[in-house]
Amino acid sequence: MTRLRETIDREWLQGRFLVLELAALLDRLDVAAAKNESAVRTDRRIELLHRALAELAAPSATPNRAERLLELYSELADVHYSAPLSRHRPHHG
Amino acid sequence: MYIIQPHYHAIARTTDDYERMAQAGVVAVVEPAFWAGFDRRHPGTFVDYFRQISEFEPTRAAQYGIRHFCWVAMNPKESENLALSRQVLEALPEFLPKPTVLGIGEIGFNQNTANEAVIFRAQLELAMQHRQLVLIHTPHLHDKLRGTRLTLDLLRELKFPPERVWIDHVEEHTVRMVLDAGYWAGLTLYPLTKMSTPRAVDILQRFGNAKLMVNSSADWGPSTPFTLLDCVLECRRRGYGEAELLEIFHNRPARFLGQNPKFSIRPLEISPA
Repeated sequence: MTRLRETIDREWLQGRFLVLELAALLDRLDVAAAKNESAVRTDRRIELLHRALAELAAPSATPNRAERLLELYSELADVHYSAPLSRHRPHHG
Repeated sequence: MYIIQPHYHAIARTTDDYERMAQAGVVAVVEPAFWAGFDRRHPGTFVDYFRQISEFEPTRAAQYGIRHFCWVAMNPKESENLALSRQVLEALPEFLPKPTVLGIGEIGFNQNTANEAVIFRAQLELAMQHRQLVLIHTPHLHDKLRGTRLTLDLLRELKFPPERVWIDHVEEHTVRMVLDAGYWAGLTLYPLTKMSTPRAVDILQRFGNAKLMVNSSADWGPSTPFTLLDCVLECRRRGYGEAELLEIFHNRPARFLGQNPKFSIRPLEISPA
């Protein structure tokens, strides 16, 4: 058996499970959005989620999707933590 | 909280399950006959298996204050062996009058083969002849949609009373056709690869007061009966009240199973303060 075939055999069911979980999560967001559309549309996290999905769907020359997604989500961390950091910036002189 | 665990394979589990389920409010478990993880060769093996789940397991559960009921059947996977299946079916009627046997199950399709269809039909006819409830397994993964359609076609053809049928392991793409046809439907929760708790609660929310039950996978594979408790918790997180939880996790199985008078656990109500 080839290594590719072994990997597919081992990972297929879990991949199916994770994609279905993601689909159900998006459905849940749609239901919530139907109730409160403007709030969902403007939430930065939703925008990041859709960018992450686009990243996943794009062809990749190197197997570093997880790394790229974590970098993407770091943008959210920057938004949350930039203010406190700037507030506590040390004074020099 | 009072919970009925309507699909539980006790023979594959240890008493730790019973103890923890009792602590969590499980008052009854119902054990369908199933595939043991390997294909059996002798009809006598099935007879002893039916004795184990109808005579011995109730005594093990009783030590923890849990009532144990069961179903007897030739399971879908081993139905592929026609000769063996026919011998097992000859032995089934002697178990139906036993005090904790609620009906014939789980029967149905595994890979939607012609042999499976022959034994499925024979067991449905047996159930009609003996006025039994039936529990129907639907195939997992890619065979589920076709298997569910074949199941509904067969039930329609035989004019099996829909209210006496529970079709299990429904998912997003099969739940509506089962409920619309008037059958009871079951959501089976798995820790890996199949129906997850959040997806099950999505379906519960979508279908409201439908004839929809929830059960855990609890067998010899990766599974745990406590996904049912996870589901109670997830429902609470999403705002379900105690009366709604009692309705889903106790009263719905009590109503379906209570069609057999041997299942004497009745639906409960929460009195207004």
